Amino acid sequence: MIVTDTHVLGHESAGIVLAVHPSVEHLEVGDRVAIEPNIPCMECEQCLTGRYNGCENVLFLSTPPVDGLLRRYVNHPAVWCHKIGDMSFEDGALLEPLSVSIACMQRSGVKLGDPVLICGAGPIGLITLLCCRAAGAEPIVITDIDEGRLKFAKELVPSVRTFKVERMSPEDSAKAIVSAFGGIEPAVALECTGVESSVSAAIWAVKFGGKVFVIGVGKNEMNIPFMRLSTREIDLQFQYRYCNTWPRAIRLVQSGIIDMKKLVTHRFQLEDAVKAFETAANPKTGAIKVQIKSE
Amino acid sequence: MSPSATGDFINGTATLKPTKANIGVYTDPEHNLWVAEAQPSLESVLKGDGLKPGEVTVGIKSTGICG
Repeated sequence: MIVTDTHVLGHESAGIVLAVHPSVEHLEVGDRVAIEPNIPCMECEQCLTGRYNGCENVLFLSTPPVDGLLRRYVNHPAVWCHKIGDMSFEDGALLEPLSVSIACMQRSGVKLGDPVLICGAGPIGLITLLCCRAAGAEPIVITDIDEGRLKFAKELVPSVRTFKVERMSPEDSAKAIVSAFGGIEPAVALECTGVESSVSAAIWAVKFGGKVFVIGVGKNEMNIPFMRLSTREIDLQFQYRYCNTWPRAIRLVQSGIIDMKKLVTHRFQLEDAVKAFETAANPKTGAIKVQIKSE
Repeated sequence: MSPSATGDFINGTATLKPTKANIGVYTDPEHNLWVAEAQPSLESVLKGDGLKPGEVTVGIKSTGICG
């Protein structure tokens, strides 16, 4: 994912259909749609078996050299444009990060009553928190190094228990996390940071036979407590993007089961997009999700 | 078949004819950020001549910043 040339950013978008090729039958001018920002080949084994996120020939928008969606107008295959009805465009754009969390929920197997650890209270961690609450996980502990983000998480899901990550060994951090659970070892840890120390703490924290599911991306090589995984029969599982998640995401938002409105903390016009990125990158702003609008 | 142009009416209501130039947000290997003209052009969108089979033109209304 190294930027090797100039390209357009953006892969979380929703908008309105302005023009339709005559070969397209399921969309009309005026339809409100959320865009799934990938164009898989639909010829390889991964595509043909429904796991198109594994397509090695995929064109993923905003991944160099493929231009992204942060434009006023985009031509895109209709099959990857999902109708959103009267859903707001902001919610429609949030279907992309929600898709990340849904893919996590489907493959991690979080169940009713599972004690779940969520590492990281950034946008993906917070949306995953909403999903875990909706799925009936209990108790849920969310970690972060930032008090402000933990406070935000508590306001979003009052029943969540928060844990501020301090400078200590992953093993000691895990002990403190289990204390935050009231002494219960989590069945599943959903790792949303990709940070080595956080992944290690999650491995130390989960119960015998538990699972650490890594959503976050990190450095190419990591040191992790291998023998802890081995002697505790802990499953370590990973995720790469998502597949077949938009219809499910749309149902969850339209039904009100997942409400992400509070996550959008800042809004900018497309012409002021550089300011939007500066705001998103500055921890002092308290930004969670920054959205860029086009009139 | 030639691609359809943008619609002037939906359910009898005039709408959806874009007027603004297409712009996009760019980056480069030095992680500079800037806003500049983007494709498809407004002219192309109005004519509908840039659409390939199976494609639609979407007027993007809201985009989130990842991360």
